[in-house]
Amino acid sequence: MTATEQPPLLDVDNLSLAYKVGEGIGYVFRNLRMHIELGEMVGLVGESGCGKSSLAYSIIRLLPRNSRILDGRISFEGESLLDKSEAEMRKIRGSKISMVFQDPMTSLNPVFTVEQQMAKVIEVHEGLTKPDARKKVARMLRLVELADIERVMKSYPHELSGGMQQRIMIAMALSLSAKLIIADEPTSAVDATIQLQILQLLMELKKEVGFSVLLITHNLGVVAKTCDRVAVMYAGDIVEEGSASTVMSNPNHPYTKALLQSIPTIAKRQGENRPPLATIEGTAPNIFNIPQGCPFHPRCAYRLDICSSIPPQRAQIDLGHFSSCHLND
Amino acid sequence: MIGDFFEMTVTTIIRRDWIGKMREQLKSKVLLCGVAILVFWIIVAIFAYLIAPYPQQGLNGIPNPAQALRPPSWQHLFGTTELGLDLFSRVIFGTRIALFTAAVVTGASLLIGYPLGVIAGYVGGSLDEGLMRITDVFLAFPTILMAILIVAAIHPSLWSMILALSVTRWPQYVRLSRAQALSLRTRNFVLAAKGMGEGRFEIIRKHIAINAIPPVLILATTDFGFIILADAGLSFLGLGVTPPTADWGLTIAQSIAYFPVYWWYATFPGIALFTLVTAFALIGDVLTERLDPKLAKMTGVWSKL
Repeated sequence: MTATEQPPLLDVDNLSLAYKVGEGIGYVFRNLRMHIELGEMVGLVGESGCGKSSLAYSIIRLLPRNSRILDGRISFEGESLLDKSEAEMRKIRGSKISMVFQDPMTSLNPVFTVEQQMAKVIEVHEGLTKPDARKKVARMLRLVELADIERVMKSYPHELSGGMQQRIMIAMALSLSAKLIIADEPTSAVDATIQLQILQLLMELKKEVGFSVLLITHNLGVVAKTCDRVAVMYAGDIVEEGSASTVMSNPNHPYTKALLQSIPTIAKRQGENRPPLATIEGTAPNIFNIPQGCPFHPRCAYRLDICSSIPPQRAQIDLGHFSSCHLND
Repeated sequence: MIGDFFEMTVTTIIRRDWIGKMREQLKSKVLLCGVAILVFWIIVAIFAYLIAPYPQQGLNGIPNPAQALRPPSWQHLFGTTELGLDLFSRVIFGTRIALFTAAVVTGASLLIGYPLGVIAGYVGGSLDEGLMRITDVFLAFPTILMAILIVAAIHPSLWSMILALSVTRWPQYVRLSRAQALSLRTRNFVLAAKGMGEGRFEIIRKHIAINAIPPVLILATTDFGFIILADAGLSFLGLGVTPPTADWGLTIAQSIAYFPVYWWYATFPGIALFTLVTAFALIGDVLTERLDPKLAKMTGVWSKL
């Protein structure tokens, strides 16, 4: 995205979130910054427990009861989401920001047919009559490229395959014309063969309908194929951020490099050399025990003395490419 | 070798399939059996006036000492009581009391307990905490003992028995539907509904309450049988239905003095009670299996077949 005068669709500024577990307080993220432009697909990548999903739930304000946003601002279309009342948020959820969840199998209510689940929400939110809502459901299902729509509408969730269920979840998320779709690992529960189909569908719809997507995943390959921009998250910090092609071809942060090396590759022919599959030593820190200085330093192969004491500053490496690493100083 | 193995596997599969089919058939027969008995008794209750040869004697009955303690005959199919009342008519009219009591008690406990439990489980907090402590008080006493205390405190009658049993049964429904709501509220489709901007009331109604129905329904079915037994038990102790109303438990209590010489007096109401309670037990068991297979595997009779 080139520099525009318009404010971004979503702007997360200086956000700090903490969880209280028993007597301990753990910071999920401190002073987090990210933004999403209109019509952009942004990949948020990181290991489990790094705070990716917490960020998503902060945006739609569905955090668990034991969490608290300590500081910062989340603005959507120029309005501060953190200042909204629960009733106002309810109107925003679904119709302005909606979510596609990880496991479609359990994200649909088992006792209602597809039509019943989708139509009811449309009726309530958009004030449509039953037949109009029904028509809209059919249109949404056609949009997500489902075949045999009459049958699908009358089906119960368990009668459909995982891929079909995820398409229905996407149709549902789009049904109220949300401007931002947060997809929280939308493909981790479906077959590998369906994964790419689902993501391509999301990409095409994005172009067609014109919404933005925040794609949360731990799969860098997926991001490379689908996203415009990528943000790499480690222990609650966005350590590198930039256009997907730049970050993939020219990663700056040691963590991003390590992540890219740990994607398995298959040698094309017998006898051809295949680079050994790299792993990142150690485990991601938990939120109660984040290392001093750069959070990644205990696992970093390029660690300097300074890394264990002073947290690195976010620096611009290239146009729109940011990284937080002392190696850049 | 391979042939043997193949044959063995095939026979095992066939055999297993055969047993499975038998079990499946048996189960549907059992359900049918339970429903048939129940329907039979419901018809008897509805058409009591038409079926009973002496409706007046069944309803309340003026003593007729001349006919006292007659053995079963064509005139009195089940014999007569010590007051000379037709036992057949008494048993038929007793059905009404048994089914009526069970329906009112189960209905009232369900109507009070189920919504309270679902709301408490979903909303949580002090509402939930407060309600749970109240149910604890009720659950601390055995149902029958509690009911006896309540009836004794008021005075024995059909309605005080119904009140006492309802008061003791509703906490069960609160507990069960609360537990269901607790597990349902963390389910993904509830989160997805929140993500779609659905309100609290809609979520409770559409996602929590509906999905909590199956186990509550099972509890209600088995409770039906239990209430009929409790009704008979309380009446037997003189804490329920009062004479001259016809009630199975009461009739059995009155027959005790004449057993075993006048065997028919205790036997026929006993058989009636047994069949009706059994019908509910059978229906409840098959329902458990159908609606909640996981639970049935742990508790059902069928797993042991």
